[in-house]
Amino acid sequence: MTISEQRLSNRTKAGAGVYLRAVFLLLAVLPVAGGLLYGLAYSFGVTGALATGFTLQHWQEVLSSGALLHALAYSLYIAITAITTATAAALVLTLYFQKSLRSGSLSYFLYLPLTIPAMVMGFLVFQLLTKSGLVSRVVYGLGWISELQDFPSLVHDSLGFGIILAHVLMAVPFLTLLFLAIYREQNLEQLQEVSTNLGGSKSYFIRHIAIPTILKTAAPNLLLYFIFILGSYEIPLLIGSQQHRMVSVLAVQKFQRFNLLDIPQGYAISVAFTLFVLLLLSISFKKLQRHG
Amino acid sequence: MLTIQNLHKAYHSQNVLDQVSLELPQGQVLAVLGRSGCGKTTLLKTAAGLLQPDAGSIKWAGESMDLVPPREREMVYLFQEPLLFPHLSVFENIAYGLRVRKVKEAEVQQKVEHLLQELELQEHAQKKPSQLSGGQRQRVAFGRAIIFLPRVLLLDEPFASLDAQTRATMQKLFLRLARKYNITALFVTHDVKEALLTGDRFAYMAAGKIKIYTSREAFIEDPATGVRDELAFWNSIDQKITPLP
Repeated sequence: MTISEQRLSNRTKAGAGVYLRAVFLLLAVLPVAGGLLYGLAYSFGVTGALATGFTLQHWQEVLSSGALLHALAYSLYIAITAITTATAAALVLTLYFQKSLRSGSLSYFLYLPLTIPAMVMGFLVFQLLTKSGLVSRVVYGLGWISELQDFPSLVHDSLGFGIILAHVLMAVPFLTLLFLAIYREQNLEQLQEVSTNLGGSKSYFIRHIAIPTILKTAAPNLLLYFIFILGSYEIPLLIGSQQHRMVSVLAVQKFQRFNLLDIPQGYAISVAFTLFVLLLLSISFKKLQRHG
Repeated sequence: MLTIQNLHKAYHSQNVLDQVSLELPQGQVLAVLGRSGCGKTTLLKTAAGLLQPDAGSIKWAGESMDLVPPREREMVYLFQEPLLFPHLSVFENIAYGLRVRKVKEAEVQQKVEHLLQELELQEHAQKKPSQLSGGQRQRVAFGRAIIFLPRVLLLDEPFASLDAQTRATMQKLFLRLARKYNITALFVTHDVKEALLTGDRFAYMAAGKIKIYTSREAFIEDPATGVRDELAFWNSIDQKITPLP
């Protein structure tokens, strides 16, 4: 190939790159940005069936009622508790049950929940933990409670036990797979030999080498899963409390009410939540890059 | 003194260590020359306690090490790859052996800083392993292995992955620190020059058997080691490039 042909080929490649980027923008970024702008316009009364012209009224109502802040705080509580519990469980499985997970029957039981959609998981937890559910009947059968109604409220409860359990059941297999891959990729088996050889006990190695290495490497994925739980909808809708609502449930309720004047508030909540997530992501990724 | 007697290890009925015996006085380096697959790594890992022998015994100063777990054996195996802890700084990697022994902070600081100077790594103390070159990483691994002055250092071709120049620098560094800290070491290599450079005593290993030489001359003279072939090769090259009078 001559130099001029080489240059032409390079230019063609560069041109193809520009087109690919344009297609990516068109398919991935544009719909999201368009939706966000539409939601912003709707929340300011600029567009929509009952548009009245630019107003801050819907935002003021959302912020002054405290519903958004309350839902955000509740969502954060659920997401932090669920991701912390799931991470701890996945770490225990990765660090202490590796051999069984790689080849044994334990792997089938662990990975099975990966195939279950969130909606179905919500139903399963409901069937298990409701006052007339499976666990309640077993406990009643064992004579530990005198009536089914004595069984504690573990779904539709204000502490969100059912929501947290459903998310933990879904997250543990995913995180365990991720941690096992990191364990192999970071050569932790050999590093444990090194640690032992230098005089470190297994628990010292786990506390000072294995856990920090796994968590540091998995941090971006953990953050993304945390945001996934933060914005989850099906599970809190099915088994969440009536008093405490997660952000997505609150927003959808505003959209679906009979009062059409609530719709701009639904958009205001959605836009505020999106901005909150973007802020969280940008701060976290900057911190991760700094410590990376 | 390190004493290994009739060490035997087999994998699937194939002998990897066949009645290996050796004695190594304190403060001396035994260079073990051998080709890949001759059982060198198995010998070192068995001495470190990372592998269990099928038979034989390992003693240090007359005390049996057979039932001593690897973490208490203080016979440090230096892998071919540096295998540094990725999230720890150079300082903390070197300090690891002191931290697990719960050495006081002031002593840790003093010992690590001193060793960093010896290894010429002062300006890299706070860097992560990913920010270092291959030679620097191997120096950190070496520092991490010797900081708590183990009984025996077991080096498994530690400089094999380095370029020729860095390798020569590391060999000199090893010799200097081995003399300074009176290190007892088993240095395994497939490189004749490296064996001659680093060893006080010499051995040759093939098919799981070890042969110990009484002197450097005996090691050089034995055709099995290949030292004479290597010398003959370099002499022939020398004659080719030296112009005739």
